[in-house]
Amino acid sequence: MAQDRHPLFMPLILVGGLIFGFGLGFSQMARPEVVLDFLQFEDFGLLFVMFGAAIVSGIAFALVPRIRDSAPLTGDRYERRLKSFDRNVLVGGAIFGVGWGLSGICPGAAYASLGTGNVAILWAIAGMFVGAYLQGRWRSRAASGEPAVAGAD
Amino acid sequence: MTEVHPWRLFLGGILVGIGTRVGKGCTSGHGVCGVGSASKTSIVGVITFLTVAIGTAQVVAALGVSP
Repeated sequence: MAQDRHPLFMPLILVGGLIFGFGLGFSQMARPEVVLDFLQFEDFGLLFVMFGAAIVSGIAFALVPRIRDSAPLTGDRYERRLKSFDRNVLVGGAIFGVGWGLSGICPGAAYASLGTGNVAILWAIAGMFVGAYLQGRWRSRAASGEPAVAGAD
Repeated sequence: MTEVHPWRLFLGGILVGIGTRVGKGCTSGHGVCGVGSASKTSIVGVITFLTVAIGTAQVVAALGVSP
């Protein structure tokens, strides 16, 4: 954790989360049934929500750095957080896809779903915690076996 | 409350937890921020998990599991 964060950094994260969660709830994406309906080609709302959000963020990522040098409240520089490509993107994407297709939940939508009062989604959140923990255990075991391995992220 | 069975939520959640970490992102990270950043890694990630998820959901539905 960086100690020199601007005091407004965490409150801004909270506001971002509020808007993000409201959007997921409002668009029905916090309901696993709606996601599963999309994956079975019965309701194409998800495409509009996901790519609509990508277009909005894309416009912001492309335009705002040209207008301003730094964020108005925190003074942080604008930057994209690009991930390097390797085989893990395909392997992890496929594992994620099986889980998403089976349950209709993804990390952001699961938390938003809890906010809508969907208590049963705690099964999915518990599953995500177990899965993320297992992956960390597995990765640290693999890393201790091969000392030269560099961290993926 | 969701009608989706708890075992689907829990098992799917485990795979989502593993896959998000291994694949460096999820529907929000790759799908919204990554695609918005025009990241080739994220576009490949989205195509991968979208294709696999559609296939999985279709197979599960074809097996008669509902909801």
